[in-house]
Amino acid sequence: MKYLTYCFFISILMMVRVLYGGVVPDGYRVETISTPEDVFLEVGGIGFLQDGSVMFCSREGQVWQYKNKQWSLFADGLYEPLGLYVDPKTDDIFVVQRPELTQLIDTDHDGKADYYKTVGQGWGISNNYHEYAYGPVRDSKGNFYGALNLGHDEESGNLVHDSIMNRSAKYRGWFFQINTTGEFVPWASGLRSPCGVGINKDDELFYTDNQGDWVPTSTLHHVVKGRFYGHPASLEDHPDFLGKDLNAITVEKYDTLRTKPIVWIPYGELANSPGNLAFNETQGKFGPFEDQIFIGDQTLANVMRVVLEKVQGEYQGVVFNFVNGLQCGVIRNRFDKDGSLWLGQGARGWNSVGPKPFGIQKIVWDGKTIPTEMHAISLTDQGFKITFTKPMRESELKDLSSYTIKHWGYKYDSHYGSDKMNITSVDIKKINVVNSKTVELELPLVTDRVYHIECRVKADDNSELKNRIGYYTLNRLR
Amino acid sequence: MVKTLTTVCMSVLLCPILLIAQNSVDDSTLQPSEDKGFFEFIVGTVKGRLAFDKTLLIVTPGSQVTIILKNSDEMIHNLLLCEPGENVPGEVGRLALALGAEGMAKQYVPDSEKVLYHTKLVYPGQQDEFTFTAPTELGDYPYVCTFPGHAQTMKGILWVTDKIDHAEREEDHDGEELEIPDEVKKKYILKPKDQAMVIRAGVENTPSNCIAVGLPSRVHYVFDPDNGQVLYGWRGDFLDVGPDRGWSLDRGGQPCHTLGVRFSVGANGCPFHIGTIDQQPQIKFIGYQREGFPRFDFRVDDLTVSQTIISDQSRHGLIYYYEVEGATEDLYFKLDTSKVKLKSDVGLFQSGALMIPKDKASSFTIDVTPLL
Repeated sequence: MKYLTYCFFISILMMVRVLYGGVVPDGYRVETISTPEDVFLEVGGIGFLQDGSVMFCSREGQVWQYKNKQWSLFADGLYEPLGLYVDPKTDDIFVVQRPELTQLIDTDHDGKADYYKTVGQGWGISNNYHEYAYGPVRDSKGNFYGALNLGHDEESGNLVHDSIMNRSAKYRGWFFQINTTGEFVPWASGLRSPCGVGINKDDELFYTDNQGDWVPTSTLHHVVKGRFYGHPASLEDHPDFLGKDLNAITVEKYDTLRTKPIVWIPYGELANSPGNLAFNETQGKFGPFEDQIFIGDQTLANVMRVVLEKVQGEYQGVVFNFVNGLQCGVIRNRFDKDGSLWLGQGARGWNSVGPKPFGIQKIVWDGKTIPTEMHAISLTDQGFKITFTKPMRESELKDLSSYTIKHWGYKYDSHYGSDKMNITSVDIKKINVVNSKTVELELPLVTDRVYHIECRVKADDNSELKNRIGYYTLNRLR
Repeated sequence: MVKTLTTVCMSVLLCPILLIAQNSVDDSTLQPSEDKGFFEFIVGTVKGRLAFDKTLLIVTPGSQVTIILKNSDEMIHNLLLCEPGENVPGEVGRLALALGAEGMAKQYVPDSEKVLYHTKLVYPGQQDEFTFTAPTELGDYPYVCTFPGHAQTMKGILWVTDKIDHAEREEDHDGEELEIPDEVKKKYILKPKDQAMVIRAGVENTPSNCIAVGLPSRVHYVFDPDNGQVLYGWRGDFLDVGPDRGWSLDRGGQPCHTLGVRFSVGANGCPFHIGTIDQQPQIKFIGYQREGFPRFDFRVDDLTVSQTIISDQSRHGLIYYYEVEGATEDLYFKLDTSKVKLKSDVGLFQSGALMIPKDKASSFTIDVTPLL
């Protein structure tokens, strides 16, 4: 009877049903990859070998190789690896496991790793289930980077101002570097549940965090060495705070110490638990979104698109939905050399809105169809400029009723998440149609707010925008 | 505020009594509706899993019922009591999801006649409750969490019944959704067959950064890479990794169980000392070789040590085959000899330690047998 119930439970998890959405921009399609039979392949990381093989590490500790549509087991017995990196020149394979960064070496070339080499370690784990380690990404000099989740164990660490998550072991809540000599270098602090790490071609580092205590809604951060990103638990290992009572420091003080996210990702609308960043550096193979960033979400089973710009020397930018209605929550994504975006999925323990408990899909562009989307939203002196992927109807571009704009803030404290604070509708003062693909909206600008910019303009070819809302994080004015 | 707190405190205190008695209790803050009785339930969340910790609540028709949702999980939940119907939780869950951007503001409570009563969204560490008069119509009234994704697994039943004897249903239902069936548990019991298994995972009562090795001989051990030593061995089946893998169901990440009886190998920190018997070396782990009997490589100060660990079915104990590169001084190998007997093909015992002359350090064997 128990077994039947369990099977029923699992079958509910597996039942195919479309829950909501199903947005896919024109010209893109979602392909589903069959995973090996009887394997619970919840993807923790994705990488590509030069021969076209795709490597996946799984939360259950295995690494699977997918080559010519055949599956083979490359490594196993790893400790919940949540990130995999393949060196593009040497095919060297690295994973971040809970306790360390490891290279998996197939010395006898039989298709199975036989040497598990410790590349770097230096952080603590205390057997609390939430002590995830994420990464690795690698810069052009060969250094690796990753991020360490806080623990969720009130017995093994201080709960600063009644926080929910804590520093259950050394360097929890830190961004780290493993340098080329294998040394662990604490890089930045204040992280909570930093499931996604990313690096662009200029070696700039980023991470996403999941909404929770001290994280009012999910976030995207630009990582700069030495900065503090908001969750105080990690400060226990910070040299400037050694021996200090973190509860004696006020929330207001922490607020002044932190670096704010470069993009707020509204909870429930766009993401609840964002994953890693995939930089579209495919030279046009993934459509008209070159150099933009793609991020999946574990709960809402969607993929978002982020466009950043620098204002007063710091990044800020806009996030859109891109694709939703996927079969399962997405925690990993990565572009292959053909410009397809592979999605690694899994939602064990938190569930996703998709019908499957794990899986692999990929988003492929047909190489010709231009989707109808806002290409970007950027800040001007007096408002925002929206650029489109194709010519739009001029009559609608200049019509005030084509847009709905509002903004809100978030409250920073030790509570789990924050409501949208002071949601304020914005009246557009003036519209300037620059050309058929560009419009400027003049409106009042207020910093520390997320601007919800909804646009209902149709394209000249009669198509409608598949994703109508951009969320622009306004930290700084031009 | 004070009154609310008092009520909550009293409710918590009264709860066990109410659950046992399940009938009216005199209390000035709660008035039973006529003499139909009242019930109070604290429904919690299961750690590491999206599930309520109670999945069957039993009440009599027309009674006054309070349901308190107490959230000890690390994410947001709610609890909606619904009209009867097997598919209702799924349907209400989908409607909640369809609220999209409005979901948070609406507490993920959809406008549906199927929803009878509900809490608001309850944040980690918080609680919320609602009180209502139980329907007079007998039946199963499902309750569900409608936070996105949760309705698949997070639900239970309020059974409105006039039966006096609930034993059969309670027994049938008892923990059914929460307990992992034996058939499933079995799948996570690792038993090496023709080759060694090397598993990096948390193991109960063992430092977190350890490596468990299961051998076909059914003699297994845990290696501690931070100290370059075997911590202990055991005989039997190898390892239950279900708690770590969450039986493919929950968040997992809990320590694995060693299956069998552990034996001592006299572990006492790094066994190597260079030059003098009390020297304390720095250990740096290099990695391990998986093929055949696993081999562990680590640095002991400037030495490179490779340790292959061998066992056989006939006895407790392990055999360590060492290869050492770079020895310029004699080595001392020390274990807790009150727990084990050592035998070696090289060296001499001096003050409880095995002295290995530098010219014989390149390869040697140490046989470790636990004293019973």
